[in-house]
Amino acid sequence: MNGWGEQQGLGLYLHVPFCLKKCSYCDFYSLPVRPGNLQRYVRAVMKELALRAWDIEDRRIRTVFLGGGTPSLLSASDLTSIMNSISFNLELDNKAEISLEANPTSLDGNALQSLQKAGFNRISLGVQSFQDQDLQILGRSHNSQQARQSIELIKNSGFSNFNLDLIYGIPGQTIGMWKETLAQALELEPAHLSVYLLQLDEETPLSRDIKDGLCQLSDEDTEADMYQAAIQLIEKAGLVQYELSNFARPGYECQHNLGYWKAMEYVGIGPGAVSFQANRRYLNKRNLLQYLTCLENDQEPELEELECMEAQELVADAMVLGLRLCAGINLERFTQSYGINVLDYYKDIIEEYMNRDLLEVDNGYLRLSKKAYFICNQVICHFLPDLKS
Amino acid sequence: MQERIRNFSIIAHIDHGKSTLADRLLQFTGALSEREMREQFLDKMDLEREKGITIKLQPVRLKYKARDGQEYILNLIDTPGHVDFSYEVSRSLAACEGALLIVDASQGIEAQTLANVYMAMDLNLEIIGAVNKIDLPGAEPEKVKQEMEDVLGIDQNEIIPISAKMGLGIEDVLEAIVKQIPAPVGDEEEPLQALIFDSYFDSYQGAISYIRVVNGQVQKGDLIKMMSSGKQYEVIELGVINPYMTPVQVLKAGEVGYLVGGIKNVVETRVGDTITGARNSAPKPLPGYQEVKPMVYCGLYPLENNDFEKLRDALDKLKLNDASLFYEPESSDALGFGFRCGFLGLLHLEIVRERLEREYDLSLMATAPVVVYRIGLTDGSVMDVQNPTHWPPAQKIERVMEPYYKATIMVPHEFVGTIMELCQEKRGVYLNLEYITAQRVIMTYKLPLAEILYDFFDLMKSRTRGYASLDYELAGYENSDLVKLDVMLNGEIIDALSFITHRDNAYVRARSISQRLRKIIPRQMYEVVIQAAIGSKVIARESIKAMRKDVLAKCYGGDITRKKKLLEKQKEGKKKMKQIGRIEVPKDAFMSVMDIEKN
Repeated sequence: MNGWGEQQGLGLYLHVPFCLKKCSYCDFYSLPVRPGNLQRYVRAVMKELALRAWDIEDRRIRTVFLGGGTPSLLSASDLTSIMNSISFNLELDNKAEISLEANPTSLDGNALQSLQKAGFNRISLGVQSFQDQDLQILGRSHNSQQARQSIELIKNSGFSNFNLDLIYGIPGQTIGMWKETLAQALELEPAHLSVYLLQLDEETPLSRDIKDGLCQLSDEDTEADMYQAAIQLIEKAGLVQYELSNFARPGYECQHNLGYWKAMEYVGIGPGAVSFQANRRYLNKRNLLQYLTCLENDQEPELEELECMEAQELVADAMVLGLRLCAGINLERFTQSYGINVLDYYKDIIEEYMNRDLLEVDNGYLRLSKKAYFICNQVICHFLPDLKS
Repeated sequence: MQERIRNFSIIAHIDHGKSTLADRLLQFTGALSEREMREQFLDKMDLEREKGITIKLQPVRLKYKARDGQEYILNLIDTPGHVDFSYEVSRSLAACEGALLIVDASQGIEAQTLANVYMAMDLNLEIIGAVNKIDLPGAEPEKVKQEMEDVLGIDQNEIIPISAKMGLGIEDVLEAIVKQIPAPVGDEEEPLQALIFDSYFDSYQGAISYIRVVNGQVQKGDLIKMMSSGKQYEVIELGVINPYMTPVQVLKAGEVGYLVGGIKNVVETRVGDTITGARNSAPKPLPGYQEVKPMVYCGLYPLENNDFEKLRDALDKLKLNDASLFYEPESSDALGFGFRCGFLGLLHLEIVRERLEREYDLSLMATAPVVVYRIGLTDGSVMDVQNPTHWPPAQKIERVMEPYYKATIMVPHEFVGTIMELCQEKRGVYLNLEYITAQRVIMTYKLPLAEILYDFFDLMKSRTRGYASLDYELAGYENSDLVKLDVMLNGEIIDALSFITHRDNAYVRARSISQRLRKIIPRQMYEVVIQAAIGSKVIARESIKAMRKDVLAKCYGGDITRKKKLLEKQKEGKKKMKQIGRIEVPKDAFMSVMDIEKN
């Protein structure tokens, strides 16, 4: 079931599980760099690509996304090798969006030029804030000065399509500080902005600090005000909100992420990477050494099943994801893909929340109304089937 | 035969060691082998075992070879240790000739114990005093003995020091039972008179009665008659409990045992009723039978509307085993279909509610417990109201009466002022104050039951650092200036939240319920205004600001499964809420009117 997006083909996600230092709020799978591990990792990834080519067969790769971790820790030549391996093993669309996640401390001008040659056409930079106080709380290894320099480098290297990640709701962050971060970000004219509310997994160091009373998250009202401020300032600068937390100049929406929200299939490469094919989500186990050993022995990495969905769960899955999009769900294409009429299938819920002005049906789309964005769980959760006990 | 029988009860405050002593008696007399022994052997309900409290022990028959070389039969008939069940206490005591009074050597006598001992004395029972837990570091057995002598007139030289836990003094207790408690003096030749002091429901055999044969005898195969209803049954099985059920052919005057009569529920085998022969009937029943009436009512509603029949079924089943449980269907605008249930008291209510939820897998909402109000209407008629929803409009009410209880409070003398203050706050009427020792005081007040139910007990305990103890009994109905308080959410009266209060307390109660609801009800998608009103006059107002954040900020390929699980949980959580209009109210909110959870 390849979602309801207009294009066919697969998304390819490649997970690079290395960081120089773990950020205080991060719960992704990442490890410190050990001598030799990077080289082993690059070879293993290339082998996995070759092995996975079999089950991907000749399906076109629509987007590529190298995420992490810190993919920019890999050298330009390693990243080039990986790109070559992708082109060699898979049917890479010649207009494919190819993104690289990067941190401000791990970029240099020469590397950026090589990356462009290797085919990367989008950089997503983890800036998070332009306030050094925020960056310290988040445990980032860069400061705002380095962030600005990196962005200049990216721009000067000819990357017109770059994204900045920003975080709000950081302990100690005031609405004034947040607006200042937004203003500075917008001044740098990114094609894309992701603004995320800080939401902590319990296991993170920052979460423990909060529990211990060392610092405090903002209250609900401040967070909501920050979200509204972001929408207002960003849209004023000419970027358009297209997802709950994402903004882009028209034509620069992240194609890879749109694939997720339109429930399209994707293949994950590297330890900890998740794949979604047919009706299954599964991941390569989060164990670097096991991953390396398997591939060094020409075996496929060990998998862990996350979910295997029945028809109605697939529909619910697509609804929950699709309603994150500001344009909403294209009802006609949804029917073509899933064989159901959304407005009938979810009649009661849709009527209920349309009455409350939290859902809208307009011009063939079902979408959240703007005022529902920041309380969307209240609406979205009703599209899921009841919990199996 | 009768001269070798001793029938006795144990009177003890909760935690003073009744169950442990019973365990020791079982062991000492060899009723149980070491292998069969487990703690709290005679505690019947899981709930009792779990909470470590004993409501009532199962009766048991012990064989004891005394120092005089004779073998005696000792029947232990327990009394429930809670004020809710004081009628049952009186019937259990009526089945005995003596009572063993256990007092904790570090705590002294408590009000409840005192009430039960007085009841035993009224029934002319021989009282044997014992001071328990003498092994504990804080034990002051001499002081407690002195108190027992001063308060109850028990000769302190005869009070037995024991430690049930360590097994000290057990034989002395058994000897005292044999020597001091008189043997029963029934007449085997008279027509049968057997007192039902307890009964329970068994799914194979139906209602099983625990009986004390007072006069005459009963045999397997006899046709018997319940004297309150006249209903007749055949005796299918008779037996004694030692401590397992052991069938016998006949039970004669003075004996204690069980009776199975193919009786389909315990309503037919009410505690206090007299069993007699169907053909050769006794002219009169044994004295003291009364049908116990519920004192406290609340609405029980299934959280899921579809569970109404399941709840009915569960209540039907509990009723088989609980003659004092009352219920009838009722409906509420806010809560849908449920039952108005009547209980002997709050503990009874809590036990029933917990058993319904636990044993019958129901999720329930309970409305605040209320007493039965008696209202004189302007047309001269009188109505009983046990649901605030049925409160008549003010212009039709001539006068309102509410049940008052005589409360006996035992307290160290330094807390006399504290208790007086508390009783005054709670509309109490002073009756008496008596120094039982230089340090301990018995205070008697007349208090409205509604206040006792509300927070009197908690406040009494907290203000006296746990030293005060309380007992109470019905004193009758009295006029009161009571009003009905309605609670509104966004302008709509939530019937299940209405309650009755004294006019003087109305403002304070209105404010506290509004504030409590503001804390309990989570932020909703809209502002929620909470108001409390008497008639159309709003006397308290709070508001809950609209929810502004409930979002998963990030949702990408690697994380979708986990994020969906969060949403599923959230959806599941909504099921624990009651949807009233567009407001999601947690099920506990309905109890918050009277926070009985604290008790």
